[in-house]
Amino acid sequence: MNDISEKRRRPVSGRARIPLDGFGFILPSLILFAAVFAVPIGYVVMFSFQTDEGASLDGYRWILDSNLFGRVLWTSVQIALLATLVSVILGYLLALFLYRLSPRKRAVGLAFVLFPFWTSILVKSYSLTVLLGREGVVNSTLGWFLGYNPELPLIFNRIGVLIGMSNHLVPFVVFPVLANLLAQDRNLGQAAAIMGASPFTIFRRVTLPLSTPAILAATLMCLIISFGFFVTPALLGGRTDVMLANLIDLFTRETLNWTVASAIAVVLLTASIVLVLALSRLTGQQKAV
Amino acid sequence: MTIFSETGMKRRSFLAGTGAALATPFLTRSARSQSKQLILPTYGGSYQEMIQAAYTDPFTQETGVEVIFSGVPDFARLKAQVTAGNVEWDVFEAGGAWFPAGSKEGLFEPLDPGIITETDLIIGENKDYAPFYDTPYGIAWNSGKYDGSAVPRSCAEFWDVDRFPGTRSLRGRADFVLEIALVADGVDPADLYPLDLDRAFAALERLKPSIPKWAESTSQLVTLLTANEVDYDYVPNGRVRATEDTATPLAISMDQAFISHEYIGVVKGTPRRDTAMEFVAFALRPDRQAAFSELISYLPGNRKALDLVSEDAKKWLPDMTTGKHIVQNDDWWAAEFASTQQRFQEFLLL
Repeated sequence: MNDISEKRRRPVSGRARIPLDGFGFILPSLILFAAVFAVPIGYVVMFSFQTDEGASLDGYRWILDSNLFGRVLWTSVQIALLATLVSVILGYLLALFLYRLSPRKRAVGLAFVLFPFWTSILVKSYSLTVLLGREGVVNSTLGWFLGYNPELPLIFNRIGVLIGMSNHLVPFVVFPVLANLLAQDRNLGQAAAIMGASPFTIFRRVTLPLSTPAILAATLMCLIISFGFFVTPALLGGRTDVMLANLIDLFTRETLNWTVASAIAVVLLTASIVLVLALSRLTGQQKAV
Repeated sequence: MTIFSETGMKRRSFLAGTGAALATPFLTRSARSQSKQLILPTYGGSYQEMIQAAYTDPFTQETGVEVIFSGVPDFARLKAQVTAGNVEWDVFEAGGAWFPAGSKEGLFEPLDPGIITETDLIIGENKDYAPFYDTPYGIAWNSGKYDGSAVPRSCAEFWDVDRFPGTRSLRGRADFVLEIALVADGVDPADLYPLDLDRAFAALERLKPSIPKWAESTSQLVTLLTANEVDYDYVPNGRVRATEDTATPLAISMDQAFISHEYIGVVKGTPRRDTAMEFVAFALRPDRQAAFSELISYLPGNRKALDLVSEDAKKWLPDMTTGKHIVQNDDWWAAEFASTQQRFQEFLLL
């Protein structure tokens, strides 16, 4: 997928001649995934095509007929794309910053990235309420400087969702990008500098192109994660910030209409797979360059 | 119902209640119990502590049956367990339309009148569940912000943003909202059902601009008030009582409460049917019901227990003789929830 793993996999000596090459190594996880992932997914697909009365397309008919689905799908796409964009930019900048630190400082910096990564998303969402609220830390601090509370609407709207989601997603960008940056040959940058390139040109023409695979991998991860987001839009969003996962929850747990819930899940899954394929094609082309 | 635990009660009242539970007269050990274990779901947190203090611990003391908590009451999981013939929970306890709906789907064992002594409490098409307790929601506010002299105290006043300026919040679910909207619009609480949906949504449309957040959970309703994100919302009285000794105490008006029901029943196909029936019988007993009300300040499902509730706890309860309160009809919701919630969801999105 990206060139670091490629490098690591290359055997150092000739002793790696184990007969269980490739497929043998992934067999255990393949079996596990078949059991705990493929089988349930198979059930979901099956459920989506049947009601209590037998085989039926009612689930998909609901999707086509309902204006709820279209709206929620569009919201989900918007939120996923925006959150991914924000997270990739912030994460990339953060990775660049960490990359420039000494290894020791970098370890401290990484710990700060890891803290939110390890914290429950529920806890994070509630903490953000405290920070971003009408009388929250951000607004009261601004109020202290301004002399009045500006009551910036940072929460219970799209902004709140994006802040909450990027808070969750940034680590997923930092790790692959930082790994990529650290694996880049520093001589390339020096060579460019010797040839008279400005730091910005070095970044634009050397560092950034070399890190594209990591950016694409991070983008892909963010998109997939954010497309299925659930807690953050519910807690930090406004009334219009409803995502597909929230809709699936409504049909699964509240109305017990598993036909519609499964049909939505199948559409969500298919859309995610199409996204993954499209992006991995992009990644593939990138590698060929 | 939600991803969050359902209640937050202070430790002191929990401890006080435990004492009360231990002080209740020791009753004869039941000879009927057949298995030594019972599994039920729970909302967790201090709610679970109160369930333990009022129900499960004394039950274990009396019968020797160990009660194990597993998972959160979830209708989807219950249905999955019953339809797959792989029942984990023996007793199920949940609120709202889940019970009438589940009763129709045959998810519960008919309650055994030979074991359940409070037979007049047994309800449902298949006589398979009973009221466990009623949760009264009242209009709450932050006592640090309002002294209570000029706050809305009825549904109509809650809707009246001219007389009572400020933001509001309600749960983002049709079955926590529509009745309140209709009563605010002038419908008599006694003539609510079947709900006039067009009228309810028209009334909601008027209040919509004053609602910055439709709360995702009951705990968020509390957070919104303590953080001063909104000025008024409908909160269960027990949640407000739990803030009494905190840094941000809330206050509540019980003048016109919205009352939702919580039910209890035995899961269809449980291998420990008789023990489960015994537990339900135990849980409906007036002394146990009163002990729980004492802790959580909800209305006991078995109203006989009201006589046993202390005056101190009673002052939190709505006066049921006024006829002003909204008492939810879960049979209506069991039939109409799916389509109504969808319409509500669309209302929120537009």
